[in-house]
Amino acid sequence: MSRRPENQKSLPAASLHIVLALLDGELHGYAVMQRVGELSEGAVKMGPGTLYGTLNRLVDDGLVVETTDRIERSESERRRYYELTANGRSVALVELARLRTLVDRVSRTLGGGAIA
Amino acid sequence: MSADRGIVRAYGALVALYPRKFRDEYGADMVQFVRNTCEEEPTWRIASRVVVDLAISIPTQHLEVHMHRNPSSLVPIIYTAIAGAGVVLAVVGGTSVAMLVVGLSVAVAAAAMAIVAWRRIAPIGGSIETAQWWKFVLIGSALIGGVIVAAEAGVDDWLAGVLIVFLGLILIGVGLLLGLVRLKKSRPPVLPT
Repeated sequence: MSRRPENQKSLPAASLHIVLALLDGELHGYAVMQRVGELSEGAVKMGPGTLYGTLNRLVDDGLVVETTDRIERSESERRRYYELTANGRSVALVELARLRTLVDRVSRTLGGGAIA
Repeated sequence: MSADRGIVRAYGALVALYPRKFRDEYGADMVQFVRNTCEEEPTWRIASRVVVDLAISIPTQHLEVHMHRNPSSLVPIIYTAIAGAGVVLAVVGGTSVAMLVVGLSVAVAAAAMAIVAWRRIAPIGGSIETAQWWKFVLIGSALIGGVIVAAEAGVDDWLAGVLIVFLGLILIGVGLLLGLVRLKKSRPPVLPT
């Protein structure tokens, strides 16, 4: 099943954080969690069940693809790697635009400089 | 550190509670994830996060396998009902056998109602991972039994007791639900006369 970027419903919070983290490119599971932590300044910390459960769902939805075997890796890199599909990237960018719009509108409502 | 190794080992054992397909696919990565986290964070923080994560993601994964679709709309209903049972237990005292039975009944009834409602909107098909139902019942019973034994021994930690009984009820409720589904699926089909 694949999502259409336009007219899509908002992603659930865990999925949203993961697709935004993967906008940087291919990451393994633990690095996804670290990137989510960086992006949220430590506010969002996912447990392993939530992270891999969500990744599994995103793979099923066609937004993320596993890339582990795409290139030769050293023994120390024997983990599962993931990246956004073209559709997943579009969905992530749509979500990003939606968040920007939200922040802009709230900033205007609060009178400009209230949100840095 | 030995506490860290203990957490990794305990987590490795608890991963067995996920559906087989899911744990075959991600189990090793999840254990590695906890091992990596142990190198960066205090043990107590990892332990608390992992307990919450297990309590949420194990039933979710089983329901996803069962329904072949995202259960996000009904999982909260089940949890709310089980939470209600937990609150009843907490108010009355937590360790009385009668209230355990009441709490358990409410949890199973609520889960069953949710499944009935769900079947109306999402017909069930395909395979289901129900063979592991007894593990949930066993671990849930052990947790509740542990609380009762501790209470009898004079341990007076009300909040911890309620939380552990709550977790035990969740596990037993999920286990009984999976057991009922397994029982139903194992019955031979009735041939038309």
